[in-house]
Amino acid sequence: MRCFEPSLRRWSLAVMACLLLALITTSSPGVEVRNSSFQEARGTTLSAEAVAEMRKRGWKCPDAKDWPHSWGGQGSRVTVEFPLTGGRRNDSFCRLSASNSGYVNGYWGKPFKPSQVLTFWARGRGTLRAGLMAYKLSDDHKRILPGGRMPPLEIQINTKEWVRYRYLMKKPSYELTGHPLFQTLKGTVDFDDVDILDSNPALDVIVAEENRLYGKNALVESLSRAKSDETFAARLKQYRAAVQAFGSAEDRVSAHLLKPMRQYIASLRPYVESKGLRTVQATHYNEMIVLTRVLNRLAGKSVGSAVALNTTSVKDSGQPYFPGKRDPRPSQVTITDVRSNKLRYNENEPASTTATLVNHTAKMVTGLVRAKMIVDLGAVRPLAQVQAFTIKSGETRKWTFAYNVGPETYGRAIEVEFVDGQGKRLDKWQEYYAVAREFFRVHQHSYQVKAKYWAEDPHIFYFNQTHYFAHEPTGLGAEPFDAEVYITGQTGYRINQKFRKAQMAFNKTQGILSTFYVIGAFDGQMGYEQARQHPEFLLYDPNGQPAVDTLYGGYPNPMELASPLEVGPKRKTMKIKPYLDREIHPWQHVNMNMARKDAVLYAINRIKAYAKSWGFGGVYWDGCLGVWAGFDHEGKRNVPSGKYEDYVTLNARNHRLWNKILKADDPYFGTWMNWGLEGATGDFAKRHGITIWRGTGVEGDPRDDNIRAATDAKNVMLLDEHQNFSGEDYRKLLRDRLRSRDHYVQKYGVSHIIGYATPAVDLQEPGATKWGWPAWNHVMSLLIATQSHLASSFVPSHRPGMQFMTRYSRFIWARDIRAVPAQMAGQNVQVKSGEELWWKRLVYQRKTKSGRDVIIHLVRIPPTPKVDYAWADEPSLLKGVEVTMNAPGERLSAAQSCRAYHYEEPQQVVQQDMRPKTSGSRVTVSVPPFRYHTMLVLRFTASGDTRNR
Amino acid sequence: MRTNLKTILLAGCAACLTLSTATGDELTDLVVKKVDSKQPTRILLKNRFLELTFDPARGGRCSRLLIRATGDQVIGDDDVSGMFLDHWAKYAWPSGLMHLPYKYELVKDGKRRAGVRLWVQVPKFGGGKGSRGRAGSLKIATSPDLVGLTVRKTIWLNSDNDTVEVDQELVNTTKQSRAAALYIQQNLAMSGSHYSDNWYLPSTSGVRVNLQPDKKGGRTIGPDWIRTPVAGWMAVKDRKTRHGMVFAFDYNYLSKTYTSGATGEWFLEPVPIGPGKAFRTKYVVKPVSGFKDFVYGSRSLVADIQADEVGQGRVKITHDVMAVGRDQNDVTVELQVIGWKSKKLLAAKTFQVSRLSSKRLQQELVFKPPVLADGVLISAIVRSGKREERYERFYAGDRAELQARTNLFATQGGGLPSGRGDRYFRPQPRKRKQFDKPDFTKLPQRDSKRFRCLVVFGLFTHILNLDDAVDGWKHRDGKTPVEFTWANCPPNGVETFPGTYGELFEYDVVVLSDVNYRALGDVAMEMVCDYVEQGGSLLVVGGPYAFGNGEFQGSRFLDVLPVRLRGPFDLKWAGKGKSWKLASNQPEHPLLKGVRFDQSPRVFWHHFVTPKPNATVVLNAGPEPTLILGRYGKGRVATLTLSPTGLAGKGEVAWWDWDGWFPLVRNLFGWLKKDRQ
Repeated sequence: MRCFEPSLRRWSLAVMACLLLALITTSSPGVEVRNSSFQEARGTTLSAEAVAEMRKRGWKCPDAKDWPHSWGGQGSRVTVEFPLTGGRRNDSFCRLSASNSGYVNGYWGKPFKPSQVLTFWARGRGTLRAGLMAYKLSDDHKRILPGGRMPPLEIQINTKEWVRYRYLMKKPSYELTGHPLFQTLKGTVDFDDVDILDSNPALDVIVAEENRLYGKNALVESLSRAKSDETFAARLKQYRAAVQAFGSAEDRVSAHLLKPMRQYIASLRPYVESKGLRTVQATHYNEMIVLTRVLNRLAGKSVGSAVALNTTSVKDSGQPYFPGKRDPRPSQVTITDVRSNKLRYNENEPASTTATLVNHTAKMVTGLVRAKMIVDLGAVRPLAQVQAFTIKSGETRKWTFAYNVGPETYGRAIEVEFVDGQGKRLDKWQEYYAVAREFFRVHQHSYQVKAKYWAEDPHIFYFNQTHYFAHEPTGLGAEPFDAEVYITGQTGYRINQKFRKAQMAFNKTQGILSTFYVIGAFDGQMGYEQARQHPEFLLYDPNGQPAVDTLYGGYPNPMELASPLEVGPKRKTMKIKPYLDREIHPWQHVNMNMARKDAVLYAINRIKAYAKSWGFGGVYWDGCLGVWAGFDHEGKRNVPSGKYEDYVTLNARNHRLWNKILKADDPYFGTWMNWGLEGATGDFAKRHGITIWRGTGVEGDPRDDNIRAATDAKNVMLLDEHQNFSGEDYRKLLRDRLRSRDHYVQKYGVSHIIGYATPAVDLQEPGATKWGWPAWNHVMSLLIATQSHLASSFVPSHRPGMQFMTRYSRFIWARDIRAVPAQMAGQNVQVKSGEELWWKRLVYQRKTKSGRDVIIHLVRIPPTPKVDYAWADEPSLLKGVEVTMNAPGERLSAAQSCRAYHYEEPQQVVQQDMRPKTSGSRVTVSVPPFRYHTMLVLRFTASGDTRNR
Repeated sequence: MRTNLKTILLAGCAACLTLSTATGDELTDLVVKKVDSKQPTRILLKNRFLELTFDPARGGRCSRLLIRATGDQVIGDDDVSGMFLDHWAKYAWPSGLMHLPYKYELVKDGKRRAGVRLWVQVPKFGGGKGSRGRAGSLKIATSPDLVGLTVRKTIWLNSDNDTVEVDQELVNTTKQSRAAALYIQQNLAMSGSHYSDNWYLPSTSGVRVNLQPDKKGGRTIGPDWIRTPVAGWMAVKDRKTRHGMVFAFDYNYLSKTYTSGATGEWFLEPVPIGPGKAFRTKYVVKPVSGFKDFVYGSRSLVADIQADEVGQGRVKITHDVMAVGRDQNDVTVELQVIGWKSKKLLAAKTFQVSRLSSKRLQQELVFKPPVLADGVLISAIVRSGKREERYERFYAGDRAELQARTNLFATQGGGLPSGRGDRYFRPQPRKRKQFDKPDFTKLPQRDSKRFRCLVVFGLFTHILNLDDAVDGWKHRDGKTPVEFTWANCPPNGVETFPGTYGELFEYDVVVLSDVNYRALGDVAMEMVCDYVEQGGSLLVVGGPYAFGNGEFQGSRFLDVLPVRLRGPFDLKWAGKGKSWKLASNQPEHPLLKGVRFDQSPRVFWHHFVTPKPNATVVLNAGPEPTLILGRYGKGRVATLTLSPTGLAGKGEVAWWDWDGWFPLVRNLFGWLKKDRQ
């Protein structure tokens, strides 16, 4: 699917499977105003003619192609911009300059309910008018009548930070519809994330009160966050009193207000009442102030006039933070770096690791430097040592040692320590890498370009597999070619073959394998040549012409396609017929008829040959090798019966061939596909009659032949294409991850990845949220606990989780890690905690030679119901958690708690021994404090009765 | 339609003579007269229904139009207001035509029809691209391709109905072939302004409605441009008064429609017009009242279909219809409801109407759809005598209607091409053109010293290497090298094609290589057919978009070809590892002179066609004819049904790599050029 060009260029090495992007960008669940954040497809709403007309009326505005869809303008002499970055999520927003004669409007167009609330975020300096472009409707909603009106909200904006505003709109005596409008009367104002929400009696009262307080210094209107200071404490006290008063006076409150008001009180609770709250978002601060007045009023109390508010802004710590970097400690010897020559190894592969030691003491230091490998839960293998390792004062010395990574699959730590002549350990440091020829088992996809706080270094990101999205000269049927620089099919990237080869070669030296992108359609110059050679492989429309791709569309351009592939300097010296000297503007696609076995064989064999010629370690198929419905070259339906079963059978056949051929020479050749459960079985697939995923074995798609065939091999990964976690309900995320875990990972034994997710925070600055540290760590906790891999461009807040996944992949992603049914986990495990934790469905076990490991993930429930990268406070450490397990006939031989590092800690995983208390068949461990997630591994040795396992 | 200029001028003179007596006379209910002796001259045209005032000095526009029954003055006082305004389709509004002084004459057609004819011969300044201000506009040099053309319109009223009839003409009063197109603008002010007006624009997704706000500062809802219209009409209605106008024009030459909210505009496709020839079209303007909306308009009918959920899952359909122009007797109205997804007939009812007049009639049908959300297609078929008119409306419930009506932006389903699969979509019907063509005999003669070849370059044409084949080869004993012009031709639209017959006729040979009908479009296809008929030479080569796969059904091109097509999927494959041998039953045929078959050229894909009786088969691929020669009119046509697709097996030589291919191309070119010597 078409991705946004800037993103593609920016993340050229990132996972960019875009099959469902259009689906996601055309609808934002829960948002009523279309394209409320201005970031979706541009150039689809206004025509060039319309913009030309606007400019005639004095508009200074972007070209039609640069207008975000569903936004337009009315009137004259308006200056408007839609910057692509800097919005609330560092994304697009609207910047509107003063005009008394025109405005910008969005699209809503729904029947007006008794009341609606217009919400938006604004910053800047000026006077903003916001409201509804109102249309009066006839009673039957079929006609628009004259006279529709809705008075606007007019507010003074004076803030550099994004602040939320709401406006209550009450329905007049007639039926109404309309669209949001914005006009800046004075100054320049930015606005973003516009919505028109249904209201209710309680919200009516709340927003009406809020509207009364705007511009009176009674609310937080100049900051996005405030410190939880004395003022806040005092206001919180007032709020609590108001809640209490409301509770006492509930009998005076009408029923239609009571329930929603309670809900608002409850929903505000985490944002103002969380224990240890240090930062309050302005939104919630304001809600608290407003609710205080509303609740008091409802309780029959006098609220008086607005009280001025003095807030304290939140200051950053000022401490820079460098992910993956360890500074020398003052007056000490420090091992600042332990860097192995690869990020991923095959089993039993030779390796070398270099430790960097820095002496910042005043004297030369001599001691023992030694290295060990820690695998599994803590098995140690000495690797190397140097007895008299001398480092002069102020000197930086490197020590390189060679060894074999050993037979164990999955992650390990390489630990280097320095011990002085007296046997005192002066320092130790660990780094981590993965070992797996079946590389999707340890797949870490977190590529990033350099930023202010980090270099472009995959070791920082734990990045161990790269993917080239639509980088080939065609989406299908690619073959070796001699062009130095070429334009890719579908995306139109200009690729330098020599550069990419060097890049791949370098990556290979790091253990980073590369995969390439294919899709079931020929495209680009090379693809159409393949189509020319094999028209029998194509899918056709009823008119006998090659089928216009259901998703991709696009007609071939004969002269472009007949032009040479080479577009680099070499082209100038080539003998090209002038009329064929054209560069391609690709977006042509012609589907393959995957019902034909010979076509499928052709595709797979080309992929195999192409992968071999470039040295790719695997391939990604956008979608899967299922059959699209259409006609064959003779005009017959390609699946004559059209029956579900026949599609399933063919789909399964294709995947059997796929695995058999691609993995014949190398069973570990990686194959991954865009086959998320949502995409494969969701409304999108059904609505569009997409047949390729039939046979996934889920509700409404009962046969599983297809997925079984696709996953019946080593090194298979399925992608759940997911663009953004922001705003997603944590519980839904957990449910969906568990659904995919149970179906794909547990039932079919494949690796499962979610992404490619945008980090949605400012890369360059940690900001108040430290790159969304709390929210991202909650998300990472969920992914770890549900056996998910993450594909996302890197932000430092990923790193603890990525590092943890790298080190403990054995306990997360190994094929033998089996989920324990929640009921059984509930029977055998008890978790005693001061707060509710997610754990019951997050218990796993694996068999060992002598017994079993029980793996229990304890996941803190995030303070907010939805993923909120703006949430700044980290949860306090959770202490005093005890886990008891009933394990008759088993002996607990080890109990370890493992967690990722916290922001303030050294950037190392934290593994701690837990001393168990045994009482009969029950063992109890005290869990060391943790902030987001901890993984307990209880190692049992069988010694008798195992009936209750 | 093929009347030449002389005939037109003679007819014009006759009309003038007739009108010299009619001017100033008031026939029963029908008046056409010059009403103001002072400058600027104005013309009054009125009947008992309408009163039109024309301002010849201002682009021959109608500056006042009074509907007597309602008292509505539908044209505003703005400087750009007016009806029957002419503009050039190649420019954005305005063209200079609307400022030019038009000549005029009063015309009469019997006792019941009178009108005013207005025309201008496009001057060297102020007749092309224009500006809003007259003075500035007149200073703008006219594009040379427009200078000398004559734009003419005749606006007629009948004594017995309220329909305005317009004959619109573009006359080539130059000595060269020209290709040009007008667009017609109606700048109205229903009920005094454009506020609260609805404009109705037929499109592939149904009749789209542009809703004007109720007052200044409000926002327009709905589209302005319809780039793929499906019918030749548009309409406007004031929501307050329900008074409106329907404009019905010829869909076959329609390019796109537009409303600014105050204007109704339709853009015509450019057509080639020979010297002394004219392109003519007609349209009507019908004032209407009482319609809720419009679903159809034509020169004989205006209609609306409303659907309404009336409870208990039932839907009530009301069909409003009235005659445009003359009354119609013994009319049958049939209403049908078909499930959009199920395609099943859900309800039907037939009504007999003894007289269909300018009085709006209504029919009703109530039915209960199984799943209304899936949508239903409500069709009306109106039969009167031998004439039958059909129109339809998609309906999926009241809520969906509101959504559609208040949809400010055309983004619904726009993200994915496949999105249209779920929603109502009506393909554009094929346009059938019959435009006034140049006098082919007077077109400039081709330069006999040149050999010009136009290659319409479809997919895989490069494999043919036509230019390489004739490189160094010179026709007529080495005196005439082939000069190629390449027209890139994606299957959804050729990039360049000669704009005029004159240009096209300069080519000695035209090659259509893997070219489908849609890519060339109606006008170019018609030109190609005329080109051959008039003695041009055509080579048609196969490919995935050619012959039976080329969407030529029902087109004149089928007559041009020396073969009968067998419909889609006529491109056949020899099979895996198989091929057909290219051979000839006429080895002595002149086209095979010097062409050797020693290499046994192989064919993998070619179109199976049936030669017409008088065609000559020169080559076969296996048993099937593949190089077939024929004639159409004075021209020669060669069809090479081979498709340059497929892959040669080991030891095989593909026909395009065959050493006989280049000699064959040369011979073909020689044959095609032969008549030109």
